[in-house]
Amino acid sequence: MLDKARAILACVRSGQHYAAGRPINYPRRILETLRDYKRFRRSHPDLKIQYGALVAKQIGIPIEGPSGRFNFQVNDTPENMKAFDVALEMLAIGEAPSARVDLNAQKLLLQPSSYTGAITTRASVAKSMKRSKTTQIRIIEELIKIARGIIHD
Amino acid sequence: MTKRGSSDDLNLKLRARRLLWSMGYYCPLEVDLTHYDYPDTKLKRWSLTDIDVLGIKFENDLSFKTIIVDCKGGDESSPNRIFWLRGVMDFFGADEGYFIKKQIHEHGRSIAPRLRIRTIDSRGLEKLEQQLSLDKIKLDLMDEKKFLENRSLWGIVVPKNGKPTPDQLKVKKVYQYLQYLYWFIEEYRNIQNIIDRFQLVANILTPLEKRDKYLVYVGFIRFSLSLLKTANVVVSKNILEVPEQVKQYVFGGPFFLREREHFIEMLNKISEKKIGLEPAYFNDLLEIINRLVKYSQFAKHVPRYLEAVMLEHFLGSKTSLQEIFGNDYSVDSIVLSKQIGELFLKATGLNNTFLSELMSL
Repeated sequence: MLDKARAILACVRSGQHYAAGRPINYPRRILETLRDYKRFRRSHPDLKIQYGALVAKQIGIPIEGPSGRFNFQVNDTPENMKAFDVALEMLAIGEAPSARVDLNAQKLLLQPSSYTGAITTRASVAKSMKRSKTTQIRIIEELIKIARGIIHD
Repeated sequence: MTKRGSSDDLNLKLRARRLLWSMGYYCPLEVDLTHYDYPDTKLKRWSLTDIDVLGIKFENDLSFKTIIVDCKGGDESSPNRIFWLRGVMDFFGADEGYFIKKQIHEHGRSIAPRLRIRTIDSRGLEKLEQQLSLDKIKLDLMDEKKFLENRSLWGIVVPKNGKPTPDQLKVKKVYQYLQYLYWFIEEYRNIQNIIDRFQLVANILTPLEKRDKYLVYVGFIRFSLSLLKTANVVVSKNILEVPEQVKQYVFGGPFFLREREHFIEMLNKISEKKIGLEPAYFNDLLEIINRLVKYSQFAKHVPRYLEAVMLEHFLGSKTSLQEIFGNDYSVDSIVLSKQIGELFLKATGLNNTFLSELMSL
C-alpha cells in the first residue's frame, strides 16, 4: 500500500518539479481528481511518461486520446483508492511537517529513494518496491485462470 | 453485429426454425460467425456472416447432428448461394445444409445434393408444413413481434452520445462471449469460460431486469449445450471412465492437460496457498455429466426443454411443457435440466431466482 502511495506521489511530484510544459500547481487537486473520477478531466501529452511508472503497480494505464495526448485511467480497486488516500496524507505531511509529527513516516519519506528524491531515482524505486499481498493474490489468480484455459480478450 | 436481412427473410427463418423444432432440433437463430486475429497487441474480431437458423439434435447415445439453414427472400443466384452455404457448413463443421428461398433455379437444385444441401422453395416449404402439421405445434415459434422484442433485449443499452459504465463494459464481455467467441473457440473451453464470464458479473446482473434475465437464460442454454457435447465425448471414448474423460476433455486433451498440470505444479512452488487445476465446481460438474451420460435418452432433450421454458417466459405464454412436448414429454428431462440449473447458479454465483421458471416446474 505504502509503495503504491509513494509511487503515486512521485509521479505527481515529477509533474510539479520537472514538467516539460506548465508545472503542477495544485498536487492535492490532481490526487483528488484521480481518486474520485479515476482519470483527468483533460488529456495531456506528458501524462504517458509521467504516470507510466504506475502501470507496473497496476494502479492504472495511460490511454491515448486525440493528437498524441494521453489520459490516465485509474484501476478502481479498494487497494488503489486507499493508496490515493495515503498519498494525500503524505502530501499533507509534506506541506505542513509540523502538523503531524510521525517519526517513522518522516524517516520513510525522507529516504533518498522516497517521493522527494530526484526523478532519476524513480526507476530504481519502482524496481525495489515489493508487490502488495493483494496484488500478489490477484496475479496468482490470473495465472490459475490462464492454466485452466480461461480466455483473456 | 452482422446485418440481419429483410422481413421476408425473418418469416422464412421462423418457419425454418419451426420445421427443425418439429424434427427434434434445438434451434438458435442468427448465429454470428466471426474470425479472430492478433495483428498487433490486441485481439481483433472480424465478422464473417451469420447463420440464419442453426439446428442441433442429440441422439440417445448423445452423438449429435448439426444443420445450417440459409433463408433468402431476394433474387441472389441460387448456385452461388448454395456454394457459399457449403463453405459456411465446412467452416462451422455442420453435417447438413438447408437452402430455403422463395424460388430456386433448377440448376441450383441439381448441384445441392452433392454438397449435402437440401433445397426448399416457398411451395415446398408450405407442403412440408402441411404434411408435418406444423401449425399444431403448441410453442409459438412464429410470433415475429415477440421475436423482435426478444432480439432487442440482447446487448447493453448506452444513451445516445453517452459512454458505457464500467459495469456495462463487464456485462458486454459476457454478451461478446456468447455471441461470438462461444461459436469460434475450441468447444472444450466453453464450460469454464461461460462460468468465468458470469462469475465476473454475478453481482451486477439482477433477475428483476428483463434484459439480464434473457442474458442469463441464453448463457445457461449454451452452457447446457456444451455439457451435452462433453458427455458425448465421454460416451464416444470410454463410458466407464467418466471423471478421467471429462478432465481430459475440459482441459484440452492429454497433452494440454499435462502442460496445465505442470504449470500449476510450478505455480505451487511460488505460491503460499496450494492450488489445484480443477475449479471449485469441478466435482459438481463431474456429477452432472455422469448423470447426463447415465440418463442420455432424457438428457438429449435438455436444450429444447430449456429453450421452451425461456421462450414461454419471454412470450408471456402459459402453455405447459406437457402440451408443448406431447408424447416426448419427460419428467426425467426436466429433472436433469433443473440439476444443470443448480450447478450453473452455484458455480457462477448468480442469484437463485434467475431461473425461477425452470426451478418451479
